[in-house]
Amino acid sequence: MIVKGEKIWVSLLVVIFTFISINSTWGQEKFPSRPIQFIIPWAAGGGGTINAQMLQPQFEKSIGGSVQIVNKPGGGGTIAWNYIANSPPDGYTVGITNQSFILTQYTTRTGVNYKRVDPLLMVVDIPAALAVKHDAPWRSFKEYINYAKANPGKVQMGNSGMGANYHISALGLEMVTGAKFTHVPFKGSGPNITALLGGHVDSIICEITTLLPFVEGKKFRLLLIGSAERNPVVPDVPTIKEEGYEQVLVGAWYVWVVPKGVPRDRFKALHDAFKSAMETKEYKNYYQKVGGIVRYIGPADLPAFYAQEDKILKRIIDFSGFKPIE
Amino acid sequence: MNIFENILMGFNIALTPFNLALCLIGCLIGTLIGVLPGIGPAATIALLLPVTFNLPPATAIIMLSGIFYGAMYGGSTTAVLVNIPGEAASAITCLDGYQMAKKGRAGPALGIAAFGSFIAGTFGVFFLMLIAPPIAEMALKFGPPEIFAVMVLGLTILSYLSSGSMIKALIIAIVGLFVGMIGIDISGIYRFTFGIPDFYDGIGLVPVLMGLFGVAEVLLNMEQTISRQIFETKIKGLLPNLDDWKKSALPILRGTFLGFLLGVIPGPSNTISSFVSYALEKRLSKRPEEFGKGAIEGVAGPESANNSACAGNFIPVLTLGIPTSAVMAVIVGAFIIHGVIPGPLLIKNNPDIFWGTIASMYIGNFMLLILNLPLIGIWVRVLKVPYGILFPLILLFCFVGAYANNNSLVELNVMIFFGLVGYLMKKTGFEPAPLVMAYILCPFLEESFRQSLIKSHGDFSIFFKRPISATILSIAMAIILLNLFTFMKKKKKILWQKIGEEK
Repeated sequence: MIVKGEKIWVSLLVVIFTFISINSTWGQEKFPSRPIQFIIPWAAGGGGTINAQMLQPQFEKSIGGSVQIVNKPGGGGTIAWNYIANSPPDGYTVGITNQSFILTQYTTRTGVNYKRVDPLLMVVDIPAALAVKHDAPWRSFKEYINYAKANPGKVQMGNSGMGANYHISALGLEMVTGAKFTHVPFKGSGPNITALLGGHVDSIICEITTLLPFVEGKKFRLLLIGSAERNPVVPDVPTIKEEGYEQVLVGAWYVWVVPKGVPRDRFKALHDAFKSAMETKEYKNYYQKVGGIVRYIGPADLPAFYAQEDKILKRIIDFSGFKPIE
Repeated sequence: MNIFENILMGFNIALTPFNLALCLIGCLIGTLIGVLPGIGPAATIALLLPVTFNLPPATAIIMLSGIFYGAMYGGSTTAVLVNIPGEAASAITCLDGYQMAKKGRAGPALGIAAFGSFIAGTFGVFFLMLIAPPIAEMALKFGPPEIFAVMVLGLTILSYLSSGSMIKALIIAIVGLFVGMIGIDISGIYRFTFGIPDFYDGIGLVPVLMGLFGVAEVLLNMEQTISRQIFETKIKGLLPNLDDWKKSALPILRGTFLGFLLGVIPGPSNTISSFVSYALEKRLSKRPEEFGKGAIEGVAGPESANNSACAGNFIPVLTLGIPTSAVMAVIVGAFIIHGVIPGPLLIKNNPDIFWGTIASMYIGNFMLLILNLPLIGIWVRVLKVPYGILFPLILLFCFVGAYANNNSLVELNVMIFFGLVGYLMKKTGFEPAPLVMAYILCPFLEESFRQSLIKSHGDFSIFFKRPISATILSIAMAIILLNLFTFMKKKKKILWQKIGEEK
């Protein structure tokens, strides 16, 4: 039993202990001394959150601290990316980016720019693929694209939003093949897939991880994949290069970034923890099963990678004349 | 019989003590977050996902889905007690539930919500089990023109959502349509965003609801001297009496079917189903004038509808791997984390998960009923908390909820703004329900309309050439004509009366 007088002493003790514990962590300057925030620019449940959750266990073990996954959705990722760029560079704010991170500088006027953050590493590269319904009349990409070229505007291509990544990929396909699609926009990839399932559009472009269950369930067929090599989960689907075109199907890669100016030792600690997390068996097995390519690109080579992606996207944007309308 | 073997297997999985315990924990958490405004099931499931990392997949899914349908039970509690919808789907429950509480009948309102939820939830799961695959195929037939037709049908019921002036209801619905247009449209055009990135995806539903209902109610009560009249009226009975049951039986039944059917259609089906059920009950009722003043049917129908819509929601997810709402997206994420790939092959490849989850939903619904009935007594006592303490607490929960929803301060301001708007609306005789309904429907209405026309290259006949959309549109047209007819008849009667008076 705690009587009234004791209550004050107990609370006083609690205050003192809290103070001591805060002070001691300040004194040591140990990194990390509080949870590291993984900022996810999309609502919970999507591919980015899953990537973070896959990495989390080994990351925590390796860095010796805890991780807090924070979903900050909105504005197609731009809110979170600006938030990361403006966060203090103390190593406690880490964010995930994908190809849209580069694209949004052309499709929005939010001031998001990949040059405003420092990339840590790429953890996975998920190729995009072109899907049609399983009972579609086209047996190959050649048949499909010849039909689209002969009947401009006849083939309906669903996308997950005008100006969003796979709309740009479809425009890229128009650029290199000379075909012309009717672009039907949906809000997000779920409604887009539903539309193809119901036959309300003829084809969609999406990342392979999302499409694969429907291919295995004999609902969709893939005609083309946007990677340098054939994917082991769908070995009979030709790459865009094999079909004789330039790679314009930008897929979903995940690169983790920090605000500019994080101290070198902390930057290295974060990088190494991510690197060890992406080398676990669980992580590799998962992406192998769903068609993602576990691919490492380090901080030294990432600016060149970003620049190369930027170049392709810029060309497609210029070709299509897509502009943010305000 | 194959299906019985499957169900037996499902119960075998769900009835192990460990799974039972986690199902209970899920239901408890769900009820709790349902009661707390703003903190929705999507955020909670995302937050708790790491905790389930070390559990077997079936157990994890059982617990997480418990949170989802538990929240649907809890959502009505705050709606009835303090006029704040705990979940969007409970917004309509505020109309009559809160009025019932004001008359000292909070107990029966909460009771019928719990029973209705139980009955609808159980039947919903039963349908889910029997006809999930064929109904999923049917739902796929709903392309843009069909969804447009459904949304038009939704708009035609607007007139039933208000108990006051029809003209005012239509005016405020137009305001709702306007609010629904804020954000980036499907062709990438920015509308009324004022350069605020938080508005790009539209104005958040949760802060709007909490502002219009909760904050406005607090403001309104603040200007009254604390008379405490609500709480001094004796709280009459904690459970619905025989008369309540007689009135509620059919609404619960209709709500169950309606919710399940609408739950399968993509979009915010939980919310829409509760609105449609309310309108339906008002239309069928012999005393529609009581709606908005504490009619128990106005609680029983919508609460049943949103619970069976939950079961409907699971169909596209379990049979095709397609999430139809934010909560379902998180559940799909949970499947993936646990190494189960949702998609057309889920039932075949992971029958233990499919049937285990379904069996656990039966049990979970039963647990929720047992859990919620004794709680009613406690909830009703909340009303005895003095205003001076209760209202700041309500505001506090609203603020926390609005922020926690998306970790955004802008949403907090949106809530405050709509709190003021709601206050002014109450003062001028406008009601929030038509605004909310129009605002929820608007993006889907516009999107599906434009998608249809893009598909048809601008040809409007696409809406009438397809059998499903043509049928639904003609029903909508019939409702409008019927309304117009009754309206004219009423006007004529009033006119004749006036002529009679003048003579």
